[in-house]
This record gives sequence, C-alpha cells and structure tokens, in this order.
Amino acid sequence: MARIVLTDASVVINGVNLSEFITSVSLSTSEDVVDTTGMGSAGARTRVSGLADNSVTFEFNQDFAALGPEVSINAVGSSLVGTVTTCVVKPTSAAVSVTNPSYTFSAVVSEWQALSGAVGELSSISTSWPISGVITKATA
Amino acid sequence: MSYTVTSDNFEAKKKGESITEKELLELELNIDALVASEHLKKTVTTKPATVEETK
Repeated sequence: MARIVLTDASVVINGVNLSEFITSVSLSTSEDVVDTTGMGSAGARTRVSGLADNSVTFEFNQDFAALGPEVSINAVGSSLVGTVTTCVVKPTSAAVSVTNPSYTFSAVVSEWQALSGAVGELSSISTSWPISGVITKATA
Repeated sequence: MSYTVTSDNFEAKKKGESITEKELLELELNIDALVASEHLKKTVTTKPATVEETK
C-alpha cells in the first residue's frame, strides 16, 4: 500500500474550492468513553464507547483578494462565521475512489481570524471547527 | 430563481453556467454567502413584453 505525502489535498467549503489557500487539514474523531464498572469487575474498570465528537482544523494562507478565504468565508453582508456549512475534504483533487475517499460533513464555523501574523511573516489562519453530526465517507 | 456561476472555484458548476436555487439548497449551500463573496450572481430574468404592453 502506497504511503501518501499530501501535496494536492482538496478542501471545499460551502461549495467553494479553497484548496490553493490551504496549508494543512486535520479531520478528527473521538469517542466519549463511558465507564460501566460495577461490582465484580475483577478489579478493573469496564468501559463502552459513547457519543462521537468530530472536528476539523484548517490552516489557510490568508488572501483578501476576490475569491480568497477571507471573502469566501467572511464576506461583508453574509459571513459563514456563526453558521453551519457543508465541507468536503479529499486526500487529492482526483475523482473519488477507494484510494481517494471523500469526507463530507457539516462544520460549525465557530471561529475565524481575519488577520493573523507577525512582522515579516506570511499571514496565515489556523481555525478549528466542531462538526455537527456524522462525517460521511464515500469511495465512489 | 437561478444564479450564474462567476467563479472558477465553485465546485458544482463551471464559470458561466447556471444553477438553480433548488440545486443549491439540495447541496446544502449558503446562497447568500456565495452571492456576497461573488462566486454566484443572481440571474436577472426579464419578462418578455406582451402585445398589450407594446401598444
């Protein structure tokens, strides 16, 4: 099985392909662990899985030009910040397949950094959004 | 109601193509944000003049 070095990940937010501005993407799932220990558990805790908690983290190179991340996510008059928006992430920009699955989810755009960076540095944005509901994986 | 795609970055259709409000809602996209960010432009449909109106 081939390992993958990310050079062409695809990130689509609210139907807009922002991949060219993305420098990092992380899609995470964790499950609550619910303790079920009772008497007679042989001195060891027993546990079951509870609710899943999904989130996504994007890092962008900021660009205030037309069609860039700032205008696409935080447009004057109708910002996505504070809304739930559809996102689709793929390892590469190629068609969806077993080796290039798509992950579709509804993210709560709970934070945004319009401007971030230090003198002499590239202005970049790191943002982490909780996901509402499940992540749907497709391979075809 | 329909919209014209004005951006190369819009995934569902190519620039210059038309997309309906129904299609956008089925894709669960935020139409207002797409218009505000100039990825879509509302298509203005002009009603053809009737014979009565041209008299």
